[in-house]
Amino acid sequence: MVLAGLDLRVDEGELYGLIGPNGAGKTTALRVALGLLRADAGQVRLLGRDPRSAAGARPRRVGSLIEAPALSPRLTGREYLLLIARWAQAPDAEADRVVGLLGLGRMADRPTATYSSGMRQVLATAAALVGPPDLLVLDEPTVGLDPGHRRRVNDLLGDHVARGGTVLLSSHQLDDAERLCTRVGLMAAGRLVEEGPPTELGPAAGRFEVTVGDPEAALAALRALRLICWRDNGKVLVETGAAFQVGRPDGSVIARALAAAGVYPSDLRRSPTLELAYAEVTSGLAPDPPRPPTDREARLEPPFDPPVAEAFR
Amino acid sequence: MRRQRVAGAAAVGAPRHRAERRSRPFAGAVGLRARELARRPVVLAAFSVQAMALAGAELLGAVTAEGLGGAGDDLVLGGLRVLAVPGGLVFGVLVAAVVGSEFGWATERALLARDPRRLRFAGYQLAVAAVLSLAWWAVQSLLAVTVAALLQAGGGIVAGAAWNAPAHQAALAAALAATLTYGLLGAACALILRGALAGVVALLAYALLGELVLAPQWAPAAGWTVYAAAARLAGQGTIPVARAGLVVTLAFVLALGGCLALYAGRQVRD
Repeated sequence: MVLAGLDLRVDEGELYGLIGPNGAGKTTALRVALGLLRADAGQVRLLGRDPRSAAGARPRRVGSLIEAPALSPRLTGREYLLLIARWAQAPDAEADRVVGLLGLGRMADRPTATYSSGMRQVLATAAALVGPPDLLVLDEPTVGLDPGHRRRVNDLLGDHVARGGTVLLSSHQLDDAERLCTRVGLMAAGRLVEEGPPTELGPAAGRFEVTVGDPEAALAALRALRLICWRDNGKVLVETGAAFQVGRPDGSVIARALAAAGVYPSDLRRSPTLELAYAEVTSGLAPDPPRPPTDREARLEPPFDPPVAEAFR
Repeated sequence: MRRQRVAGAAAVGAPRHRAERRSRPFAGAVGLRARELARRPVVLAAFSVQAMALAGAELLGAVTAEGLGGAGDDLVLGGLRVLAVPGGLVFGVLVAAVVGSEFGWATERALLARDPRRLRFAGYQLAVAAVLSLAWWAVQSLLAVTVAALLQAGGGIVAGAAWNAPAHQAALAAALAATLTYGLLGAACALILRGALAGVVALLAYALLGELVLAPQWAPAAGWTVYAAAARLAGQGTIPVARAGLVVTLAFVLALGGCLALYAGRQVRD
C-alpha cells in the first residue's frame, strides 16, 4: 500500500506543495488525483468530479506533468503542443501561446528527439500550460532545469495562482516550495504528516535570522524586548513564537528594536523552515538544528553561545 | 477571487481561444500522429520491405512458369493475393510496434492525465492504426498493380487477356480486410500488453505459431484461421467463402471488443 489515510484538500487559488522523501507517495497521490490510478478506498474529487471523468471540460481545465516528460521523438515541440491542445480540446493557438510563455523559440520547430533533458522538461511544462488550465498538477516541474528556466517556470506558477488558478505540485526543491507555495504538505510513508503555510512548519517556524556587525548589541536589544534570541554561526537567531500565538512579533518589531538600539542589520529574513521540517519528517537523517536556549541559558548574561552554555550542564 | 479569475482569463485571451476552438479535435490529433508516423524509421522500413517483397515476388512470378499466388499469368491478381497474405500479417506486426511505442515513450500517461477516458485513448490508437492500414493498403495495392502491369507488358502478356476485374476487386477487398484485421490484432496486442515488444511478440506468436504452424496440424482448426480466411477471400484455398467472411468478421469483432474491454480498466503505473 503506497498511500494510507491520505487526507488532502487543495482549494481554488492555492499553490499547494507536496514535500517528502522518495517513496513517500507523492507521485502516487498525484496519479490518483488525476485518475491515472484508481484508489482502492476513499474518495477522490478533481474539480468536484470523479477524476476519471472528462465532464466539465476537464481535459482543458487540468494541465499536468507527471514524472519524466513523455514525448514522441519524431514530433517537433510545436507539433507535440498541438497534439496536447487537440487532445485537450483547446484551440491550436494555445501551442503558440505556451511556446512564447516558456521562450522555446526556434527550438519548438525541432524534433523532440534532439532536445536535452532540460528542454524536454521545459516542453513538458509547456504542455501542462496548454488550455489554459485552471488547475496545474505538476510532479517536480523544475527538476533538470537550468536556473533561467527554473525561475521562468516558478514565475509562471506564481502568475497562474495570481490570476486565480490553482497549482498542486510535488517537489524536492525546498527553497522554491518555501518561496512559492501558499501551503505545504509534508508526506511520509503515504501519509500527510504536517500541513500548513511553509513559514509555519517545523521547528524553525517563526524564527528570524539577523546579520549585524555587533551581534552582542543586537542580542541585548532584542532580549530587552523579552525576545528569545541567540547567536548561531555569526548570525543572531530570533524566535518569535508559534503561528497561533496572538500578537506574535514580526520582522518589523525586530528591525525597530535594533534601530532603537543603534544597531542596523545588513540582513533580516525569516529562517528557512522547510529544510528542518523535512529533516524532522525524515528523522534519523536530520542534521542537528540550531536550538533556542534553555531557561538557564537565557538567564546567563550575554555574551553567550548555546554550545558554550552546553558545557555548563 | 472571482474578479481575479475573470481578469486572468482576459489577460490570456481565453474568450478569443474559445471562439477558435477546433470543431474536430480528435481528427486533428489523429492527423498529427499520422504525419508523425510518416517520419518514423520503423514505418518507412516496413513499407519498404513489404514493397520490395511484393515487387520481388511478382518478378519471380514473371520469370517462373508457376506464376504468383496460383494466379498464373495474372501477376496483378498474384500480387494482390501476396498483399492480403502474408502482407496483412507483416502489417499487424508494424501496428503492434507503432501502438506499443506510445507506452515506451509514456505518451499514454501524458494523454490520459489530460483526458482520463481510456476508451478515447484506445479509440485514438485504433483510429491511427486504421489510417495507417488504409495508407498501407493503398500504397501496396498501387505498387502491386503497377509493377505487375509493367512486368506483363514487358513479358508480352496482353493486359486485356490477363485482366480479370471481378477477381482483382475481390483480391483488393480481401487485402483490405486482411490489413484491417491483422492491424487491429496488432493494435489489440500492444494495447493489452502495454508495449511494442510485447505486442509484436504476442502477434507473431499468435500468427506464426498459432495460425501457420499449429492450426494446420489439426484439421478442424485449419480452416478457421484469419490467414486461411484472408487467403480464401483473395481467391485461394478451398474453405467456403461464407466461413472465411465469418472468421475475418469474428476476429475483427473479438479483437476490437477484447482490447476495449481490457483497456477500459487500465491503471497507469508507469
